[in-house]
Amino acid sequence: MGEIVINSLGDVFAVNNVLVILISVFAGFIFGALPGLTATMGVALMLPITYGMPPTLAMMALLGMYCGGTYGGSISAILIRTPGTPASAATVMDGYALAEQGKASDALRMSLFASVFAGIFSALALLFIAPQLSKFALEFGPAEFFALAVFGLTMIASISSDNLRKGVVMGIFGMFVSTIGIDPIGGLSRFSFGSDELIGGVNLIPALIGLFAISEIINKSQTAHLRSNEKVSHLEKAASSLKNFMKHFKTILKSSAIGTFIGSIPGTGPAIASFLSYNEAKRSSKNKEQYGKGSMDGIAAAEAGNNGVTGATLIPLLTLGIPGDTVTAVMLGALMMQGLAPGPQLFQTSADMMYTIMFGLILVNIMMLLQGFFAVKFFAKIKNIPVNMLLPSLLILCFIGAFAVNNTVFDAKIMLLFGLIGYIAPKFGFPVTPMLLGIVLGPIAETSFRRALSVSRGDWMVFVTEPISLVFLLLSLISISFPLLKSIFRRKN
Amino acid sequence: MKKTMRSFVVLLSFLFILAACGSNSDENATGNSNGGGEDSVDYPTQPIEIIVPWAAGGSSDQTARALAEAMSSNINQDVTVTNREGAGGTIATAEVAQTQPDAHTILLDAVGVFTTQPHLKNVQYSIDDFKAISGLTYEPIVLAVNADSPWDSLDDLITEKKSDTQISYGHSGAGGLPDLAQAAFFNQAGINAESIAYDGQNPAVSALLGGHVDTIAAHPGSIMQHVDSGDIKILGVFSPERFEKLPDVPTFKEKGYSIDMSVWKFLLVSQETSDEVKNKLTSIVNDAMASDQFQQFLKDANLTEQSLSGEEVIERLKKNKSQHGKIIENMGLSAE
Repeated sequence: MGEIVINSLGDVFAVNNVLVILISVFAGFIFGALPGLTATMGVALMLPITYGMPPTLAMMALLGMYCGGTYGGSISAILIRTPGTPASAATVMDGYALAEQGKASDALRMSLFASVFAGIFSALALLFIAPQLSKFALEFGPAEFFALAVFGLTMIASISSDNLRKGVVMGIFGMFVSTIGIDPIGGLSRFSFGSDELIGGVNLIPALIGLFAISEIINKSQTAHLRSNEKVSHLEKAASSLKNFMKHFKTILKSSAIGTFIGSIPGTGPAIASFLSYNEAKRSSKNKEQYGKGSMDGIAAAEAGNNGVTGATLIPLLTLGIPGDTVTAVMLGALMMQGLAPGPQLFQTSADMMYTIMFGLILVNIMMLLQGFFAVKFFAKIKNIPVNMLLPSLLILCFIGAFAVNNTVFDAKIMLLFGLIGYIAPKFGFPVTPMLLGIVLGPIAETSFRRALSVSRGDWMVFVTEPISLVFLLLSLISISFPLLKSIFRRKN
Repeated sequence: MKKTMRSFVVLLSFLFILAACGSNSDENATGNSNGGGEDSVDYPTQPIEIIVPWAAGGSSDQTARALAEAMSSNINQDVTVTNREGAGGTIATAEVAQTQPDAHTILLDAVGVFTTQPHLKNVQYSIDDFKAISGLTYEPIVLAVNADSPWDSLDDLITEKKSDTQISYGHSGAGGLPDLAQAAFFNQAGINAESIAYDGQNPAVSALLGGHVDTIAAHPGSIMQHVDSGDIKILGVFSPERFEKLPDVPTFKEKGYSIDMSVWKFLLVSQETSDEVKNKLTSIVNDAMASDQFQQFLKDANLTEQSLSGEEVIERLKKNKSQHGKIIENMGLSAE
């Protein structure tokens, strides 16, 4: 055992590993940052390249791309109000507000620190408690998934603080959008109006690009012809990063744990983790008003949340051979092509490989910190690009991104439609983030609800007799009623 | 926008470097080894694209990529793989059927796209839109239960007919073959059972491991590891022959249930393709499938080769279509 660990450590630090990580993390930054190109897509594109590599090298390349891409999403979320990946949607609100205040570098750095800390946290969880976590994750049946989704949906309350009613409307609208396409339980098509393309459903990525990027491009372009007198570049000097980091340490630690927990459950994903972390950070924060208007804590929470997922998604993959999301499904493919079948046997048959992957994940995060530290300075300069150059280029990237999801123009049309929604809705006070939440959580809530009732033969008690489910439902109840009760109390006093 | 441009260039060059790291010494191309009269056909004149109607990383995608690699080392053109997922494979299939591209576009498809999907919904294609090149792979479907389950054999499960227990069975999606296979069995055995659809095979396997469903039907390739680790028991095989790695597990046919379901995959081209080009392509594919490289892949990925000629593929698809249609009708899922 000890020998294996030492050998693996030696393997990880081989020169070509380090080199491949360097390259793939950087490629990940770019994939994550470009709207429409996600970490998932990057990993899928990387896959054929890794087929010819030795197993360790192949996994390092994929992990570098995955972690880099998950962090990279926050770069564009902060700088241009466009989450590069769905997982960074929670970062947009505070990140962009900070960037507008000239604190782009600070925000980027906070996101980097939080991401790296959470990444290492979850790699350690993978190293030490993977079997226990995977056992717990298996406990998540339909009832538990439903309760988790409901808990997630209560976040609509905290991300649409100005007008709860309008937030709920958008959330429900998002859930409606997610019902388009083939009914995941019955297999019949819904709201597809006979269109082949709609049978496939509305893809999350084009919807995301539309809601955030396209709408922002329209907004910005309305004033692009005005020469603003204020200097475009008002980048403040970054405050001492370490001190900043320590100030938010508690949030980061908590969010890393949430991310790791969510990541270990197959079928969840980084978007849910970052929203849950954000919600929890806001709930426990003393300055709630700050959230959404440029809170460092908010960025730290959201980014630690989504990067906490990175190591944890490998837990079900490596211990059970079950990929929890698309990225790990691609990694499963990569391991299979290398002749390694992930699963309960892998720890016995290729323990060295397992440890190499785990240490590799830690190394990936360390490299990410180093590279990110320099890249942040470079990325922050995007703020200096004149809008009349930035917008058309962004628009092109958006189209490429939407098209690339499935190589179809239909997705680009979907993107435009959602761009219109994202542009018009906020003008009437309807926030778009709850809609995204609805699109992400709607399918989980619906399918698990129906599955739970099928398994229980229509017995509704299943949601409260399962302990984990009960806990989440109670948490949801508290999270909804607490603000209400508080305001009632305040009125009485 | 110099920066983005520059980063694109940087990214591209990085990917090339990575690709260079990746390519082994597989470049000992054997040149044009397919002699004979087919050389008169001018094909391929440009890169060949294999369209996979499912996501990257899945078993279809892996098969396509392994085949592409094996093919491109025998011909002077590149062979690329494009993933075009959606709606159970029907979107990509409909697209090829409607655009009728030339033989440089090959479609990889699985049996269900032609045998179950047309019964479940209106689709914009039929077998007649295509010519088949050859069969590709074959994966049996097995019935599995959790190790803690009271049933140790198919006979144990069949006796549940007398009790009034209701069984919940999980599968990779409504109308898919694992769903149909179990529905047909529980129906024929007279067992009261409820279908629980999951989003793909993996979630169904984790539901079985977590004890959330009583049985699942799945491909043995990916659950054998759980059988080896003692977490899952396999009770029966939905094919006419036993599965070679589990010689003690009976088939449903042996137990008196006439169910024959397995997933097999094949390659198609537009029906406008001329016979000469089709024959040339068939020989390229056959050479690739016979290569050591591809055979090694099949072994690693737990897949079995399905050697069928193009005509046999079409014939079998038509036969399967009517069989599957009957079961779907019995289940009340039929769109017609």
